[in-house]
Amino acid sequence: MGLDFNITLTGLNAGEKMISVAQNNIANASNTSYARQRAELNAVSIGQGNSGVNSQLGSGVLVEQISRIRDELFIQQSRSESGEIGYYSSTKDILSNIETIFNETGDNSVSDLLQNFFNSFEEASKFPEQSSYRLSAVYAGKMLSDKIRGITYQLDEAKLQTDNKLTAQVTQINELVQKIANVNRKIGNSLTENPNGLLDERDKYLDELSSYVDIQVVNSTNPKDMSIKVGNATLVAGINTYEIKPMYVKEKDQWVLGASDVEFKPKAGSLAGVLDVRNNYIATYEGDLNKLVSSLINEVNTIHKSGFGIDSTTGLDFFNGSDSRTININAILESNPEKLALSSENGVIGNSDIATDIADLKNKSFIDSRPPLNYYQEYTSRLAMDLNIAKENVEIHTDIQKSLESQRQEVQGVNIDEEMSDLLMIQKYYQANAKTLSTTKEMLEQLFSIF
Amino acid sequence: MRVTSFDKYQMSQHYLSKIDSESVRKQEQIATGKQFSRVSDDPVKVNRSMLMDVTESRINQYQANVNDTKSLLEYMDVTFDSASDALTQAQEIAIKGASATYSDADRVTFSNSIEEIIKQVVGLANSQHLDRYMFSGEKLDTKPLDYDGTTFTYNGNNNNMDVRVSEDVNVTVSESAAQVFVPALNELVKLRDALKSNNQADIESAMGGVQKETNKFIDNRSKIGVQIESVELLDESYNQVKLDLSTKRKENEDVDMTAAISDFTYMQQIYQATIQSSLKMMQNSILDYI
Repeated sequence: MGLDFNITLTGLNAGEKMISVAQNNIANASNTSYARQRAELNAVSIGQGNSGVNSQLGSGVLVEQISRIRDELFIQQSRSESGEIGYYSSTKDILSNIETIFNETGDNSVSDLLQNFFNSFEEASKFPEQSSYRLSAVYAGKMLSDKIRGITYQLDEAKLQTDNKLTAQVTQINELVQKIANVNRKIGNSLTENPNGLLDERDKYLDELSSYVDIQVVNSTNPKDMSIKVGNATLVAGINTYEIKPMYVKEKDQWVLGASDVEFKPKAGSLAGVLDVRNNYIATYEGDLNKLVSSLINEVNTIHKSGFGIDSTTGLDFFNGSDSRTININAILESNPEKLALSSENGVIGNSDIATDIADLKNKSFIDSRPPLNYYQEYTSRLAMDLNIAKENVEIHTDIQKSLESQRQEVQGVNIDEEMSDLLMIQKYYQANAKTLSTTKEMLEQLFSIF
Repeated sequence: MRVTSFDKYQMSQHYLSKIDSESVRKQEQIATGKQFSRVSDDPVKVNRSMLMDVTESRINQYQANVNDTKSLLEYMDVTFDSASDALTQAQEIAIKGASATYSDADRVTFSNSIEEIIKQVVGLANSQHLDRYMFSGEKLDTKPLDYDGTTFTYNGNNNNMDVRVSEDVNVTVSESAAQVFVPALNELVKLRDALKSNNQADIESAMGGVQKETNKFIDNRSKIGVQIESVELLDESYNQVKLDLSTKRKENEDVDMTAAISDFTYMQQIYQATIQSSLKMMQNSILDYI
């Protein structure tokens, strides 16, 4: 008491710990998922069994704990925005790829070839006796079929790539989930209640995970007993993990995700985006294209079968196949253009009623009560709108997330100037305690020098 | 408001990349001269462009039809012209034959000339343009008229070929020789026979018949002339519509160069200012002073 070194020693110890904390903060200044730490000091009261003035003396200082400064609300909001960005940006990537497949603003797009097809029949109706016009009508049909088949194959490719993306992302999520469970185990094994470094590490994994799927984190009093859920499925419960298993349902051509024996559908995150595009968007695009193609094949063949070629052939189909995957022109017509049925009367070469009827299909509303070109234009517009919405949303949510991140860093980020001035303060504090030590030492020396 | 060191750097990076991507987009616009290069850049505008495309293609097709129609009609016109010349010639011979100044032997010569004219007109009826018989109705590969010296057999059919030159206007581009040539030819046969038989009354009545038929040919020619004119007017109006469309298209698609270039320059200035200000901000630190 008084002329002893204990109280000062507590000061020096506290000073050392505070410097460590400042060093740690500065070292982690660029780590975005790091929450800055503060040493929390508490005065130590004198031991029991003292009375009077003695009981009013203090016993030095103690570093109670080193706490992390963070705001859970900002973190949650920032994570959910991450999820939105993930969703829209993976949607945007895949839809962008699909837009390139169609390439409507380039040459020889489907709408160009479709118009060309109808126009070539109009031309043939003026000169049905000339084989050059007949051949050009047949080739217009061939180019259209080839292009549509080509697009269908490319859409299949896109589906395959999307499948690969899906499985790759599921693998990454499972890895992250495993890492989180490992950290949970280490937290359980650590000897303190708040292992800051491990908690920071776990935060980092949670940030990353939330850009893949929309997770709900449920914390409990014991930090190792946190659980992560997506929808109704659990991914992590304490140190136990449940892997996500993707399953492909062949009859519906769709993917289904399950974890811990529960099926779930993520609503945000890049996995949700990939799943949505694969299950819904691509299916719609394929289905609508098929509608157009099968109706076109039907209408053209019905008319063509009732017509006559120059050599009196009748009853021939113009298109073979039934949908966008199998459409092709009748090979007989390619080598024998005189069998192309343009006339509605047998033996009358100048009758071009059939040719005119096929050309008139351009304006006939036979698909969803719209003419084929309008239907196709709406189709491409819809694809473009979907892509546009995804692009805009990526920008919007990125901006929102940036400002949320700013707010989050405002609370938990490290400001180097702040830390440096803290260091100065701690240095002075340490010097003061050291000076006290030497003053006490001098006083003791004076006491001893009496003898 | 607390601002962390790392955040300052992040924020300026974010803004710089935003300005960058906007600059690249403007550059693309300046280089291509178009406001959009993909449908998703501006779906509404591209849709409008595509609709204009469809209209333009439709008009182009109609214009092609108009050109083909003109060529076919002009050929018919030329043929009718030659036919009416031949008939006028026949009339002159008939007048000579009806007058008493010529002898019976002369009339036999005249009837041979009429026979030649008949064969000439049959040749005109059986003429081909672009490899098709113009006066067989729809049977383009069948010779319209057979002539055996007295009667004419028509081998074509009675439907005519039409070309669609606009939404609801079809122009007929073939004729049936039976309706256009055979009546005149029958009158010529009558004239020939009347000359051969030296029958004054017959010659005069046949002459009247030939006169009537010549007038009909002149009528046909003027009908075709009117059609050619109206088809030409249609062509002109199509050209006008296409001009309008192309102006509207430019409005829709083209970039206002001056605005784009000045936007781009402005953006570059902002970029420079942002870089300089963030550098200044990052340079200031307490570490310079302790």
